Amino acid sequence: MSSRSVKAVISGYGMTEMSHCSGRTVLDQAAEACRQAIDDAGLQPAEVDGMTSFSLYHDSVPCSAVAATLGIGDLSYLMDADIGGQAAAHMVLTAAAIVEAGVADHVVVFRALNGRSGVRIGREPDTGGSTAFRYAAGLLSYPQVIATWVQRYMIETGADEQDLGAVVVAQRQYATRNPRAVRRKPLNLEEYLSKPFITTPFRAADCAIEIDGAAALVVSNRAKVSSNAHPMVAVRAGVWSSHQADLDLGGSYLATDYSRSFASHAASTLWERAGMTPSGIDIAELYDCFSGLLLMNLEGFGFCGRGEAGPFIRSGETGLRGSLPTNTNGGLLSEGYLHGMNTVIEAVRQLQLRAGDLQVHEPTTALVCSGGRVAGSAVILERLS
Amino acid sequence: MTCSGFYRQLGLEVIAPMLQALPESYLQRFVADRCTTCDRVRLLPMPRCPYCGHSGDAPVAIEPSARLYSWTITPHRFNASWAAVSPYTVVTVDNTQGIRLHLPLCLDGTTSDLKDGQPMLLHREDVGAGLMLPVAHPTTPAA
Repeated sequence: MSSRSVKAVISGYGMTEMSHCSGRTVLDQAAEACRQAIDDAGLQPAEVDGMTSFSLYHDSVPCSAVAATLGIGDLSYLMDADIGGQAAAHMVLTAAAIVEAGVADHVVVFRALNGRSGVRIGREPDTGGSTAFRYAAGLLSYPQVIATWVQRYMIETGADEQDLGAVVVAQRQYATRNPRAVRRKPLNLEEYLSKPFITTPFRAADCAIEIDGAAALVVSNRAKVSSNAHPMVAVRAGVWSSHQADLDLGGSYLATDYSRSFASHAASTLWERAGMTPSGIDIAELYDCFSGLLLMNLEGFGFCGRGEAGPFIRSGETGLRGSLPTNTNGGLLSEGYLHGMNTVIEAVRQLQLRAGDLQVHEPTTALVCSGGRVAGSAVILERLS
Repeated sequence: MTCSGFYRQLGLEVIAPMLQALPESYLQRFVADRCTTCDRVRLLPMPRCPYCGHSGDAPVAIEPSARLYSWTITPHRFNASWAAVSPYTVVTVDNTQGIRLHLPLCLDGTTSDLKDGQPMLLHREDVGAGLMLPVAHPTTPAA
């Protein structure tokens, strides 16, 4: 894709502080993050003509409420999606498609929630058709559901707890240099292994930490962006995949293969659309609500072979000076579970060379994915010269 | 946790909300739906077959013979009302009809000897009020 052909670009981003208890309304945080993003893009609120967001269990606020709060007037495009963690990259991709189609020129994409002090995923009952079956069996929480997937991955690949620990330790290493991260305390493998299981094969450190906060970015028509404050980031290609979808979020009755994430099914389409191969990617920001899913996502997109993600991480390849710096903010495991919106923003931050102590040496391409089990989305972002 | 009475130990008041949400056909007769077009069997109540898209189905008894696919041992009390059976193990099994189920494992609570593909037998426990819920037992000692 030549830079001349790019129409949709990410022009700005914003984030609130992430915390265990914001003491603020979700609307207040959403408005702050969106306003930051609009300012960062060099825009006025009145110039925004599209807005989209996602939520789960009614844990957020609608786009119309944020638009009203910020004085954004007539919107040409609005979409509130009830999707969850698979959504972030998908919402960016959709916003880019809206811009490419000429429906809107500046689309704000946001995620806001009091995920720790308010509605918590693990404590809200699902309402889908498989919920009663798994609850009756004792699968009462999302970590338990994912644990059965990662256990199967470990059976099939020979991966072990050292591989899960490698994910946690590597990402915590990044987080020690990230002032936004909620988990910043250094952690080595021995310390990781000394912690008790909460549900095998997971220890608490294998699970993303729920937080309060908001994040937003603006996807713009490149021709309508006047600010040159930061490099523009193009949405080069993207994909949504739901090959093993069930009746509800925690459903695992129709899926046949627990050992692979959606990435295994989405990868070929993504690479074809982008006209690239994994070797063309400089950094990866991959959804990691649980450590084991990062292993599946690394392998699924073809960054390493089946069962090789653990050794790949241990060898330092995903570190700041490795061949594929990965989850450079510490990931959802360390920075906090903003349902992958912060994962997208970390990619933009890196590509715009604004990552400070965490900056990778001049990356130009990033793969970002959202989701790690039956469904998910991914985009390839590229810094324009 | 012993083999007998997983749900008895849990208590009817804990599982009552789930009993209300589960299909009567599952609780009383332990049946699933077999598609009359493609013959695939599905556990979840769905208006159409997820494999061929047709709407005709007929009840079929869920066969008790299964193989172990995955599992998790849960010492953490995600829900305090499950403390009576904590720690417990949930197994994911595929039965001979290709139905995937998650079930409590009735064993001694330690499952380090569980093996991929291990034969399992599905057994129904009386949970009171004339209702039954399935649990899984290993059918042979693990190697």
